[in-house]
Amino acid sequence: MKRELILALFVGLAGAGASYAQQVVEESTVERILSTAFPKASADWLSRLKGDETMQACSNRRDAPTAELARAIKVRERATLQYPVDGKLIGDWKRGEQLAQSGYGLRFTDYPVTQENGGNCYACHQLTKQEVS
Amino acid sequence: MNGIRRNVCAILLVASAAHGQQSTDAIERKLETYRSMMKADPWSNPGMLDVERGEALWKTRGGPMNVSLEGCDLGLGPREVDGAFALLPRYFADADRVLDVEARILWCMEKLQGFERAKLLTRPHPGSGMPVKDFGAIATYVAYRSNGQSFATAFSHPKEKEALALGEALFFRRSGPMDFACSTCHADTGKRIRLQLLPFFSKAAEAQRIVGEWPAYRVSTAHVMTMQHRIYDCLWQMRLPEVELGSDLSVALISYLVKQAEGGQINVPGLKR
Repeated sequence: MKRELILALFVGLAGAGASYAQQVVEESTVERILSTAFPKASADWLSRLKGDETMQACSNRRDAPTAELARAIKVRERATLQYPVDGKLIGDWKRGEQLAQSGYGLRFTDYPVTQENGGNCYACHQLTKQEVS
Repeated sequence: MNGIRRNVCAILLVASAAHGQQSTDAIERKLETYRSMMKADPWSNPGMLDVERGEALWKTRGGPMNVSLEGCDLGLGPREVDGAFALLPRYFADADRVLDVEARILWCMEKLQGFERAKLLTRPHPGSGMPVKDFGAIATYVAYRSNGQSFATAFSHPKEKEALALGEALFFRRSGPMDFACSTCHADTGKRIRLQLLPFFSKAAEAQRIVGEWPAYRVSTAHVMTMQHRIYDCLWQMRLPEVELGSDLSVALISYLVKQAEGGQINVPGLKR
C-alpha cells in the first residue's frame, strides 16, 4: 500500500515533468516573479502573461496532456476555428507566403502599428528550403 | 531588423546566396567552415575586444564612489574572478537574492561604485551594430575568466533551489498572444528559426554545448550579446512585455539553463549567426 502510494506520487511528479520541483512551484510564486519582471508593462500587456485554459493545461502538464485532457482541448479549440464564409479554402498562396514569412506584429517594438501583422509561421515551420535568414 | 540581418547574412554567405539553389545543408556546411575558421584563431572573434574592454572597465576606478569593481564579490570573495562564472547563478547573502553574472555586476556597480540603478536599467542592451554596454562587456570578461571550466553551481541554498524550480516551470509556461513557451522552440532536437539551429535544452549534451558559449558575438548584429539580452529578445519574440535586466524571472531561467548544462565547458565568447 505504502509502496503504491509512493509510486503514485512519483508517477504524478514525473507526469508533470517536475524534475527539480521537489517543492512544487505554486502559481502564486510564478505570478509574484512575473509581476516584478515587467515593471514598465501596462495592465493590458500584463494580461498576456496569463494564458487561456488550454495554455495553462499544457503548461501544467509540460506539453504532455493525458489522452482525456487532449481530447477536451481538441474539442474546445476546434470549436473556435473560423473557416472562410465563402467556403473557399485556398486563396492567393503568394500572399500567404508573404504573411508566413513576416514576423511583424504584437511585439513591443511594433507599436504604433505600421503594417499588417505577419503570421510568424517561420518561427515554428520550415518554409522555403533556401530561406537562410 | 529582419532586413538588416538578411543583408549581413547575405554578405556572409555570398557564394551560396548568389547561387540560391543550394540545399540548406550546403549552406550550413559553409557556415560551419566559417565558424571553425573563427574558432581556429580565437582573436579573430570580435567578441575578444569586449573581453579586453570589460577587463579595463573592471579594473578602472569609476562611478560616483570612484572605485574599481575589483572589490566586487562574484561568489569567491573580492578580487577573485577566475572560476567565479562557473558557479553562477548563486545566492548572495548581501543582496538576499540569487544573481547571475550580469545581475551581480549590476549590483556591484550600484552598491560599490554608486551608479544609479534606474540609469543602469534604462536601455541596457545594444541596438544592432552598437557595442555591448559596459556591464555586458564586464560580464563577458568575467565569463571568459572561467573558460575551460565546467558549470558547477551546487543549487543547494533554498533560494537557489527555488530559482531552479521556478526556471523550469517558466521554461514550460505558455503565454502571450501567439502561445509560446521557451519549450516551443527549445524542447526538440534539430529545430531552427530559419537557419539558426535551436538547442534542445532538456537534453544535457545540447545544453552543455550551447550554454557555455554565452555571452556570444553575434555576426548579424555585430555585437556581443549577453544571456540576459538573449532572453530579453526571446521574450520580445514571444510577444511578451519588455523584461527588466537582472529580474528574478531571467535569473530563474538562466539557473535552469545552467543546471541543464551542468558539466558543460565554458568557452566564451561564443560565435553566433
